[in-house]
Amino acid sequence: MDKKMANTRLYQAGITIAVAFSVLLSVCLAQAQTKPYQLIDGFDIATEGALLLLGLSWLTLVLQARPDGNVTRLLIVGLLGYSLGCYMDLLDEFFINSSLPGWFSWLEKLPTPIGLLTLTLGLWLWREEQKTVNEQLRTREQFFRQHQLVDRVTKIYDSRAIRQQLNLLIKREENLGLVMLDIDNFAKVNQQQGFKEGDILLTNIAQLLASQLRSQDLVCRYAGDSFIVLLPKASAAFNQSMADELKQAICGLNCQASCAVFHYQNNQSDTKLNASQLIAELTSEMDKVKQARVMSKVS
Amino acid sequence: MQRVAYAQDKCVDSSLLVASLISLFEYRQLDINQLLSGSGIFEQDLTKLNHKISPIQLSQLIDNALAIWPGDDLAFLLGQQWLPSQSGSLTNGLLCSGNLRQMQNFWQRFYWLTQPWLQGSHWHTDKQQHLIFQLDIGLFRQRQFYIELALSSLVSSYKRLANTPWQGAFYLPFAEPKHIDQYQKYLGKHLSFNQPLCVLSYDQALNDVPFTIADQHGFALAQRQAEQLQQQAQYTIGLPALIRNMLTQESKQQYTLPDIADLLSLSPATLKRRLKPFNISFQQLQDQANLHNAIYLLAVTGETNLQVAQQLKFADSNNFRRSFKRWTGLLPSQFRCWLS
Repeated sequence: MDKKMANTRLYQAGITIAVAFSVLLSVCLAQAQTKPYQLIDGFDIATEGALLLLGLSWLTLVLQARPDGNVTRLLIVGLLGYSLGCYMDLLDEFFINSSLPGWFSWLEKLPTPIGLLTLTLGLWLWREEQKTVNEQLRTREQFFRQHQLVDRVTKIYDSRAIRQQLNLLIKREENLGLVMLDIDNFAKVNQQQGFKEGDILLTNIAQLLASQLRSQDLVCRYAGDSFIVLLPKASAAFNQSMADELKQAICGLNCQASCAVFHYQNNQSDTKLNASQLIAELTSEMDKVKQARVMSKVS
Repeated sequence: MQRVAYAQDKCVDSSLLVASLISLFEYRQLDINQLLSGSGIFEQDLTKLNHKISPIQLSQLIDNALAIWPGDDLAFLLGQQWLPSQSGSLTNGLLCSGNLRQMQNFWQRFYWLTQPWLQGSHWHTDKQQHLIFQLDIGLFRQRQFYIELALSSLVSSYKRLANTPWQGAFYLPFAEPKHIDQYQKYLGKHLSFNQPLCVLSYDQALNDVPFTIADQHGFALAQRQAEQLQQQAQYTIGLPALIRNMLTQESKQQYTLPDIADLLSLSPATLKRRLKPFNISFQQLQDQANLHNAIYLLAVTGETNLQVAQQLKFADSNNFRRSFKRWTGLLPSQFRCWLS
């Protein structure tokens, strides 16, 4: 707790220093002589102004994209320092340097290196942080991050991503297990409790599946209430037991799932299947499961 | 005489598709104002009983919805909950049907009351039943949406009523879409794309699977109510479907553009102008009707090219072959076994 408080204070101090510094320098410069109009170089102003704007835009991007935390704060202080340096450089263009005391030019050079050093430290820590986050997301993305492929409702990948990953694994000649889970009577949940409840249930199932898997597995939402789990380097027996386990786990959410399993021996088959064919095999497997369920209900 | 609806006529009951669409968007917390913008529909309208909108308003709404909706499952989600979200005698009739045959006949008679964007017809061959879906007041550029909606609502209604999975094949008149997984999930794996007509085929045996909540009395009552409703309805068909019907009717009489315009008390130029908002021309309707007839004669009754050419009033079979190639890109002979 104390440490956190200290961090916050440090962060606030950093920002205060940066702002105070810029005000101080501006005031100093206000007393300096301005350059005569002919000596002002428009091109320099444009390039240095652009650098300043870029620095500020990075700052806003970081503020928008990242949750608060030590790494974010370091990045913000670093970018603030850098932007301040750019600002000083820009002001330089309007004033005569020699009209200011010697210490001033020295002071004015400080913000840029300090800012860039802090930024580098922040990026280094960001790298550490990202490693941890990646571990957390392993069963959801498997080292391949493309946010356009994320399903809007459940926040896990959709079927396009699993095709991509499947093709990759087929190329590597690995054995794979595929498990499809289809929630029984999901349409009823949507009808009776509304889409909101239905969406919550789907999200919960997605979370649950992601947490049950090994670190090399991947789960995605196939379509509607169907999920596909990809199990690389899995044996047929393992597939089946994993499928049973996932099915059991879903029962904990007060709903039942139908489950289809498909095991692909990559190196033995002469003709290679592609991702779409594998998924077609899996869906026809699912059809059989559903047909069997109807038959058992009738008899 | 059919009472025909033009593009600006208020003929679509907004308590059906429009209300489902809006409630779905509310659940997903999407912007309702953006959804309704430019459509001339207001949220308070939907609380009114018997509020109706025009085909033009509907098309604007669907355009907005497709632009805003994140993902590509909108039509399928709407289709999933089509049956339970409807009310009235049409739904009662469907719910009380004894089997698919009864349900299908009932739907064919009264669907326009709730799904005026469609034109449905049916054929049957030895072992199979075929349902053909075309667009009535639905815009051609939104065809895929309406087809997805119609097919997924039919499949999910069947699942619900018969309590068994659907078995049947789908012929779809567009290229394989990117979201093929949604099709496989909601419709099944028997899909063929790039077909000249939208057809749903299933075994005759499926017609007789008993529905779980069948109720003959309820059905008879619903049928009487629906008949009454249809008699009172201000409109009973849209302009595109009316014209297509006239051109397809097992041609005892050959209608031309001036004939049809005359029957509607319009000038030919006005008739053409009235078709424009539907995103379709008279020539296109004529081609569609001819194609419909030709495929019926080829694939269902199994006639030769020459016979088909004669029946469709082509000068000779070469002419027919050439026209057929223009409509479908394929030769007539390739369709002889199309539906089997």
